[in-house]
Amino acid sequence: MFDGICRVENHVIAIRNFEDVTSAIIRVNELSGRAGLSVIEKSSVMTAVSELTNNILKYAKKGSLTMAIIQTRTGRGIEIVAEDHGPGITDIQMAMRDHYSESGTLGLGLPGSKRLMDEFFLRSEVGAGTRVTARKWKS
Amino acid sequence: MTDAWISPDAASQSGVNVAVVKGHVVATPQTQLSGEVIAALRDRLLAMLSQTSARHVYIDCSGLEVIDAEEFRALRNLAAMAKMLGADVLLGGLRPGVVASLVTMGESGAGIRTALNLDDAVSLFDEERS
Repeated sequence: MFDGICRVENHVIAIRNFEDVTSAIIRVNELSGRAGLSVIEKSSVMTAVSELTNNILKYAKKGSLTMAIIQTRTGRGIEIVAEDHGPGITDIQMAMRDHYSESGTLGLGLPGSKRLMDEFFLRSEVGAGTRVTARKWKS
Repeated sequence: MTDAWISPDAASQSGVNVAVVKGHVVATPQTQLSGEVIAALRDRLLAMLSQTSARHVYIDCSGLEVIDAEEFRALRNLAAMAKMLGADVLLGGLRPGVVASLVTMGESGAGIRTALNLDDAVSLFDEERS
């Protein structure tokens, strides 16, 4: 990718079961620490990873999570990419709508992850899969 | 505490320790929460509340680095179920990063009672009992 972002320490974790979700959270915690993120920022990234990887298990059964420390001329942070080759999302607008009503209807965890991260890109194709790229910059 | 009683069943297998301290139930998740862990916790707590005179439950979240929105909703539902059995649930030991993330995601904390730690929770419980 030539987007002016330098990526170091790329890690790819296969997501097939809950143990993989747990190890992804532990790994992203370590990496966020090394990127210099604060405790609260690290929590945001870990929670987003929990939401996105649980989504993979729920909707696509398996996929992967890629994480890296990112560096530009102006800042440093963490990038996470959650990818699957599952059914894809038919209605992205609907999926990005907030669902945290008192009635307890469950959303896809996507609007929550978007709020937790500084940048959030969603690409999904029905029948082909879904990819979420999200970044959190050190404040 | 001398009257703490650790339940003899396979607590570690379900990922949650459950103890009774001075008549209050104290549940401590040992691992990162999952649907399975929360379901096991729910089943044990509801069975306990329907069979014993314990009316207060403290869930110690201090060991949890992450509680995502769905896990939080499951805990809130658990509290609602306990309430229907006439019991009160207090969530405690929530880490700063956990509460920051939950509020950022849009969770308000409505519908669930919280305490800073077990000490606070026991004081609250004792006040209500007297």
